[in-house]
Amino acid sequence: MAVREILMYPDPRLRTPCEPVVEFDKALESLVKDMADTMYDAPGIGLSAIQINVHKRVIVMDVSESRNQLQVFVNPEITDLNQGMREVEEGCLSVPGFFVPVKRPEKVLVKAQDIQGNHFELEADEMTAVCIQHEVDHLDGKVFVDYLSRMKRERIRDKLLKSRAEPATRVA
Amino acid sequence: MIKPYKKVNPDSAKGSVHVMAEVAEVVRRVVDHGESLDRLLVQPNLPDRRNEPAFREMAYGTCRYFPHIDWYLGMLLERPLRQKDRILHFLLAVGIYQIEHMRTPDYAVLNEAVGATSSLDRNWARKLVNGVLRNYLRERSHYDVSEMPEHQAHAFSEFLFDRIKSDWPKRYLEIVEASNTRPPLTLRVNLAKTSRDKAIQTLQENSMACVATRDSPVGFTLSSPVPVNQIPGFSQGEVSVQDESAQLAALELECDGNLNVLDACAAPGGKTTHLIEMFRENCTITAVDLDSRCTLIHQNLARLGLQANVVAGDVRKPGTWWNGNPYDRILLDVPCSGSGVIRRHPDIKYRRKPGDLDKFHMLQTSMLAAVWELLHPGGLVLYVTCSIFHRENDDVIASFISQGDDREVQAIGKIPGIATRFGMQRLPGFGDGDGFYYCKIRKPLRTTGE
Repeated sequence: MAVREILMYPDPRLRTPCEPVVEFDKALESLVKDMADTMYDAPGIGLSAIQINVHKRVIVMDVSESRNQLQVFVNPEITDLNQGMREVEEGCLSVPGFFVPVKRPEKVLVKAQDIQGNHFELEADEMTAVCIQHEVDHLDGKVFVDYLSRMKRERIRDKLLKSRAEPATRVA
Repeated sequence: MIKPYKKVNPDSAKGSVHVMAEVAEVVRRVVDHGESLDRLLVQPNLPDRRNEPAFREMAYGTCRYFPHIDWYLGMLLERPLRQKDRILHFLLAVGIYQIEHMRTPDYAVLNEAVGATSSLDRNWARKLVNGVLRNYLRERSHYDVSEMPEHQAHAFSEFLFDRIKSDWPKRYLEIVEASNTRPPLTLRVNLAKTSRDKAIQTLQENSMACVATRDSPVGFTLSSPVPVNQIPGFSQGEVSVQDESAQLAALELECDGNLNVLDACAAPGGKTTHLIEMFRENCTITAVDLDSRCTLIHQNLARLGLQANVVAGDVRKPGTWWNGNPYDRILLDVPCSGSGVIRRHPDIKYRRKPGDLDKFHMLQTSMLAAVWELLHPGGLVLYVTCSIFHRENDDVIASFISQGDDREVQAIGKIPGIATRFGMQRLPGFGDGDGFYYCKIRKPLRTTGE
């Protein structure tokens, strides 16, 4: 099990857009493995590769209560199914301690590849829809606090910087 | 992404957080408004029924120790909370109770108390709650407790404490001590169906530890309480829940022969069913209580599969319910302050006010006088209270016997306790029973045909 370090907002490396995956090889397998370990350890319900400083379009997710239904999305693309918008409170492993409501499309169509490179489609709703959109944003260099006003975003940024400046208490 | 937890909305707040907020509200209503704890706990506002045991433990415990905890809160809070935020005072009290008396780790108590502020819609108080409880943990051993008023040191209201002290100057400490303990779950065996030894054996075979009561020959206590429906023999009517001191009442009534027996103020029917179990072969047993309370008697009878003549009526107005047949035995378990059962009903600490004892005294005296008229010459009345105050016990008997010369007080024979001027007093914790008072009065035969 390899739990990797998660980049913390406002780390500039969270802003680099990610490259599509071309080779579905052993390296990808071990990356996905590390991402899953890191996500379950955190614990989170979704993690994108950029958060562990790997700039590739890979996402792992598990929104189940039982924590045993891992989903892997490689090179995901999202289309809004135009079923209206919905506001749900979100939190992020890179922005620990903050939960804010974000408005997003209620239902989306996800097109992605699995770990062997096979293409698949998925209609996502509920928490899966929220989570996949949150993670795809990461791959595009976006963080959920970008949806907030500048004042709120900077307040969060300053609080995080301040909490890290203090001796190592990990804000969960 | 991290799984969001939803705040504010109580239905989705974390289970235990919600529990503490709910307990604080219950304690507030008991302490500030004198509401009945039992009634508030009938239908607790809990989304998850699994939290109910913890909820009850916290509610009972915080009510039991509130005056004591309140002293610490007085030291911890620079100034009292505003009246509209008084709920936070009770939330802090529940927190301190948990820290002192429950197994929850301190950090978890703090976490839950802070979280409960949002269920109470007072998010602004998170730091306050956290700070006060942290200060408590840090400083609890440094306070000068010798400055604590005596009644608060014993977790009592000033009125009740002073009254107990003046009524029982040599024993008040053991009384208040026993009143603050958790009561045992005591069962009564139905001798018509089984014996005490057999019942105890059955329970032990089901690995429930139990001990025979010292003073009641038909009772035993369970070492760790369980829901009654899990007790073997409960639903079959072999055992009933009844305190040891309450069990002694029916035993003292001497119902030998074909007698007409009245259980006045019978609800919830514990003593009625005891009388029926013992004497139904020979005696006719009537139970009377106010209409609203009769359902309880019916429920109790139904569980045990027993029949009795249950009459709705006011004991003081026999004209409305009495059939005219005089009774040979009357068990009169009058309404009282309940000062002997505070360990079972800690809300009594807040419900009794100065002046209540005089009201009870008047009611009790008039009830005794009323049932006296229904008694056959040669018959007996057993007057019973679950109070330890003379005003409701010997004083009632004194004023009753001063009203006529046909009232013979008889010695209590089967109940161990402290003999008083007229009757027998059991204090809370005697054997393992509640505080009860009994007095037996006989109507002489010579007064027939006045």
